[in-house]
Amino acid sequence: MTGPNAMNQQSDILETSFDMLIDVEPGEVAAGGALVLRCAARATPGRDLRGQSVQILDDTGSTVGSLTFSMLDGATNTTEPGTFAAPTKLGSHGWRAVFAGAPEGHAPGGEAIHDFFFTVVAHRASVLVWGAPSAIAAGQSFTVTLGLKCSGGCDMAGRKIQITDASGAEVAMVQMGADQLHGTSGLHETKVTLQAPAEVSRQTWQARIARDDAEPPHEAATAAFGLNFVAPPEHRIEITVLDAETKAPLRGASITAHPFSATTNAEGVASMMVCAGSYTVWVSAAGHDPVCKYLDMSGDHTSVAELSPEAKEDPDAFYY
Amino acid sequence: MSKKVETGERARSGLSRRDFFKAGAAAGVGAAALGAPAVVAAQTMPSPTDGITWDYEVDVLVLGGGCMGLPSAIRARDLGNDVMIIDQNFDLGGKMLHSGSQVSLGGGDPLQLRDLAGEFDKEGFIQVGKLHTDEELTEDTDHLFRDMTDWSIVDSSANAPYRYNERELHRAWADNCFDTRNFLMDNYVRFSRISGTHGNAGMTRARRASAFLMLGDKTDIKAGTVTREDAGISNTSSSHFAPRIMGDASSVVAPGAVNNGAALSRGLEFSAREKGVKIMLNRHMDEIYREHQFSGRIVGVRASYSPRILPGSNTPMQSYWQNGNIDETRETVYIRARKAVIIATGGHVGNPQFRSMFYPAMREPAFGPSAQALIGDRAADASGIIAGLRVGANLAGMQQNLSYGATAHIPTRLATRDAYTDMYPGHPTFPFRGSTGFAANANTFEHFIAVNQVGKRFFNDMNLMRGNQAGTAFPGGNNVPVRGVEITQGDWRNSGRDHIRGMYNRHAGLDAALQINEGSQGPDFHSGPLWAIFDEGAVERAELNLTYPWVADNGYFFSADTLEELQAKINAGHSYQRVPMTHLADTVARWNGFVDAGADTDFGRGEDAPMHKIERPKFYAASIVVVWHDSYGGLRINGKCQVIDMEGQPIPGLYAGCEASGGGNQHGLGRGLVHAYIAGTHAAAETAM
Repeated sequence: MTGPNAMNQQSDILETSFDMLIDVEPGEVAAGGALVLRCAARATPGRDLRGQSVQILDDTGSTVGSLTFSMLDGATNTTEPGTFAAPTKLGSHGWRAVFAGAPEGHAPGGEAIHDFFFTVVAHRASVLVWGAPSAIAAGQSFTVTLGLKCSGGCDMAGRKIQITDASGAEVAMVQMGADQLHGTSGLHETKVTLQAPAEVSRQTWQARIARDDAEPPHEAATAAFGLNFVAPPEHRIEITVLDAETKAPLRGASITAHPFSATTNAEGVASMMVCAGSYTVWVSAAGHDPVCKYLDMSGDHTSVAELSPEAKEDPDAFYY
Repeated sequence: MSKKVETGERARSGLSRRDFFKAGAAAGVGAAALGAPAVVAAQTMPSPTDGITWDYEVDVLVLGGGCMGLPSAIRARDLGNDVMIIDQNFDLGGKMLHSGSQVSLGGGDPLQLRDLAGEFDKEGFIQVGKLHTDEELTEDTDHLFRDMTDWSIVDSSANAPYRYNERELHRAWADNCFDTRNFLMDNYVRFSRISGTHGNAGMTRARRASAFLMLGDKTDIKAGTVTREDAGISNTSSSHFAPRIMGDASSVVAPGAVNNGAALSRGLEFSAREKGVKIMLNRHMDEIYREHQFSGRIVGVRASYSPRILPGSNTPMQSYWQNGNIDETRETVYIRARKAVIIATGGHVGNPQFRSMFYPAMREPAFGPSAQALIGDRAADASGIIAGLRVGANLAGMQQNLSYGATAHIPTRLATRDAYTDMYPGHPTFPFRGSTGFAANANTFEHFIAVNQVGKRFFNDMNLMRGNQAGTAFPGGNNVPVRGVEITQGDWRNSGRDHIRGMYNRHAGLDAALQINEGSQGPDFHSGPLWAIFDEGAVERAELNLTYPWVADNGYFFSADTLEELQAKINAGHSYQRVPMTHLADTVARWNGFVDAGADTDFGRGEDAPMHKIERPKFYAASIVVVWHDSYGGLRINGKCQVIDMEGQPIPGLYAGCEASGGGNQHGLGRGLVHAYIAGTHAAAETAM
């Protein structure tokens, strides 16, 4: 634009300018999940829009809700965040924000329109495996716990988890029960008994849930878990763990002789069978300094481990 | 006498004629060119103070009310001056209030003599006998001075910190320990038996005592008592009186004695208020005025209103005691000092830009100073040092900033940003930290892995907490004096290679934690927050108590059903998590593989402790923070605590000490309290303008 009126015309535009923006969180939202929208608008000259609303329209043009301006920081009006249910259809979506109170001439009918976009993705399932013994005698059965949770909060009872061995062969197909792990929110747990192979080896197995096309759909998910298959253990390590000062038995202390491990009972006794060989045995308990023993196991071993209480946080011993 | 005349001339022109010509002749054109504008400025330019209307006028103005400010104000007041303290916080005490109150002096100080003689305190609180042999308590100021400047003593990182100590400073420090200990005891500070020596307070004698009060029916500084509630209830509550729960001092005093910084700080504060020291809280010093920028006498300061307001509140926080407070809420006030300004603003540990001069990685603002909930975001912000530099001061001790275990280090407290020390609900600043945090030492890390902002491990997790050995060391340990170990001052064997090989005990976990990682982006390349990651099995084995107030929903602790959820919560909920923590699940899987294999080929775990899988829900993330506790680089001062300019001359009317000053690698309160006594004494003796 040139000429003597350019400046004036530009001023006219500035006087009626109206900018609007929608903040979308998250940009990738799980199908049917929570979509948090917030609107900011700035008018020139400055206008207080508090109390006025912006309509939110979905892909089809239907109104799904509104946001109301509640804050004015200098020139910018903002709304509180509003939570909307995301569509369940996967892929990119374009929604529209419409503000009816824009200045005349800015847009047809005095409306300000802002289109915004987000992507709907399938729910993510998380598969967890825990509780396998640290060492499993070859050919014996063992138990692990499977966990399954949907990122979108779906009930996963009845879903199936396939367990495959190191070669990829299926060793179990487990249907998740309704039980949920105490203290979690929607994490289903199911115990499963599996069979160790005959050969001594360290292997990585997998637990897998296939992609489903339910409404809403879930992505496939896999969890790998390591297993130590050992020769049949023939010697016993039995260690009684005591507090060095009080001589009281320590319950819950760990005895570790890789790959074997055990935990002490109420009498402070931990007992485990190990294969013949040399071991570094760690004894550790909460609030105590760990101790280490070196054992050559060609027969059974019984001993007492006294653990010293660890130094407390002592102002006289530290900086402060 | 001639020196006095020279000071007067310097006060008028900023540079004596003699110095001007000498400097020009010695250093050539450059020095002359540098010197000339100062002379011109002094003679022709208007003074920066022209046009200022002073809102307040006192003899001695003290900037900061901590371990340097409070006692220096009392000392100047004792000597007959009109004295004012301004402090940016809402309460007095600074970090002293948060401290363990361990004051190592020595040189034959009154406590060493008391314990040597088998005597007790005047009030009769102490019941335990002396804790040291006569030899461990016997010394004179020469012995103390030699200890504090002993070039031969190395710390566990093989540095010899005392070699850099400014000799004039430490001579004056040693010479003033006796009077300072008496001065403190004259101002409601009760000291325990001498018990060992604090880090970097010399190696060869016992010099440390902590301040105590006796549990009683009421909190009464004059009587020396504190209620159980005010002292704090173990594992439950702090109080406004004592932000940290006071410790059991029965082994160094008597049954029923409790100690920490509250006993020291509240005693001094009570005395200052009783003696009529004026106190202006919520007041941050922004600028120090000199007659001319680089010449003349210090005139006063400009200070701004700095109230602290709790989240959800509209009213500024209030100090524990109010008598003597000046109620001043104007945005800016100008305060004139007729005699002197004492910079007692603390150091630079709360200023990421400043501290990054010494360790660039510490530009990372995720890591704050110690006691930040108590002292606030504007504490230890280098403001006193910067204001001093603007009026011509020099710096000292810059190389000493990282030579002690308590400077930048990883403390053992997790799940709170304010990790250097604990604090329980009950102190009004607790909401600023939100959680007490829980203690996790190296043993506890058996159950954790430590990851950086992108979720990758960076060091042998077991050794993260083992890198912070405090202070100078000797075979046999660093609790000094070390019994059964002969330490000869200045003996070359002390820093011999065999000795260093025997006592070297540094792990570089801190450096690894601060390294550039995949999430670091220029120009600052912040390393980002650090997290201890663990599972439900760890909670059981280590018997962790993950309940309020040890942990809270404050962005420094997260729990989740899956690692993916944990990662997402950290990404969304922690203020300094600038990049997505994308590698957490892979890192845990890799770790679990190491546990299966019985060896950690990445960082060597397994040889030093048992390893446990991280696999059983729930999963947890507790913040690991780096804390820079105290600083040793600051304004250059002389033995009178006068601030020294670029030419080695005192800036008239300007004093500084403790963490605002540099030149003495000495940790703790002993440094600041003696500086305070010296500065208060000499500031009071200035001629009023």
